[in-house]
Amino acid sequence: MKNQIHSAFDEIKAEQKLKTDTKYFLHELYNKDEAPEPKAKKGLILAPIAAVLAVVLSLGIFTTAVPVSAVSFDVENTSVELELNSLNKVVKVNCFGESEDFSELKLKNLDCESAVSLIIEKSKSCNADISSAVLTVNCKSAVKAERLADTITEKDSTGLTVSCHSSHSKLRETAHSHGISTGKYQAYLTLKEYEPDLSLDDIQKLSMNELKEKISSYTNSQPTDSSTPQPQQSTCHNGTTDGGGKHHGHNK
Amino acid sequence: MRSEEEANRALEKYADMIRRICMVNLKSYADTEDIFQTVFIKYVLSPKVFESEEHEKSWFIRVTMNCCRDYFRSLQLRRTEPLDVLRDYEASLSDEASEVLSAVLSLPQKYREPVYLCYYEGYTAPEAAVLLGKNANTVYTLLARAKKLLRKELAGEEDEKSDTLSV
Repeated sequence: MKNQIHSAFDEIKAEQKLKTDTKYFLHELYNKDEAPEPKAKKGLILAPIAAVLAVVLSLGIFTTAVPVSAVSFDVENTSVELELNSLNKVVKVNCFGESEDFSELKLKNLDCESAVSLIIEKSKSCNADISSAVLTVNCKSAVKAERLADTITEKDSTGLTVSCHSSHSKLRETAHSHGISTGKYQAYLTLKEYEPDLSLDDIQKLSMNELKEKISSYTNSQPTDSSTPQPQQSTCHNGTTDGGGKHHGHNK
Repeated sequence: MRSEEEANRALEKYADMIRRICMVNLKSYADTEDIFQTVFIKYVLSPKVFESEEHEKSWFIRVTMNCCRDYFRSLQLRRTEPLDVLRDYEASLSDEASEVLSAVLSLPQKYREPVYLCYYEGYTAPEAAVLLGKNANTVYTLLARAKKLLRKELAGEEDEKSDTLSV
């Protein structure tokens, strides 16, 4: 019986097709392992996606986190400066002078108009002379600065003095390095045209209202011509400062 | 990972043996193809270093049987008849081989593997017991019972043949 079983099983051989198919299968398996093609293809697909994501991400960061304009609110000896992103949202708040009362305000991420309204409310509650307050808008583009000023003053009924400037961020940095707001620094630069000996130390002692009066006294004493600004009217000054800014002032 | 040449060498050497184990355990050619692929993937990826040819052969036997068992567990496969597998070979097998294989494949599953290992591969009962993961005495018992059943089956066919001739 053992021989019978042996001879019977001996007749069973693996079919040639079975061997060929298995060999082909193994060959495919080896080629799949060796060829790095799928990974390369994956890389080719992922690279542009990563690039697009990086661009979108950096655009997003630039739009939301990078300050492109600044609004300074100067009242008496207090200065609050709001740094705004391209969506006019507050990304940073800088306080100068006697501004302890303002430091507790939560202005970050608010839109510009709301932030200014809150500052005005706070000033009123601190019995500050709002009529002497000056709002200075600093933007790289003069048009945008005026548009922003219009947006802020549209809702305001306090009769704020608003001045718009087109300047680059270097001016802002210089003002901050001297411990004053951009608005006050801008006023200092304007006044320095009439008083060349004027120093920043002198300015820091003066309130914004005093600065405004000084500038007015010089501008009012000059002969009137078509290019000279008049008080209580829309005015336009060309800056000659290290900030290289232009001044578009208008009283409301 | 083993080289493609090594895999092809093993395929040429053990294909017939794996085919026979598949026939003992499985029901169709399609299942056999799957088992071939599974066994050789395992061989290619196995880090095992074989001490001898005998060691390698016993590894193939064990892996093929285990693969067949895993495959056999599928409910769908259990529905098919065990003798279906012989249909693929009907044309090429001699009458005697066909009868003997039919008898072997009609045995219950537990008898088929010991019969193949001891009567074809020439393993002793203790050696087959190691490969099957069973006690040697169990293998002896299984072989004795299988032999009894085979004798009965083959003798019955002999009787039928002689009856036909006498008529």
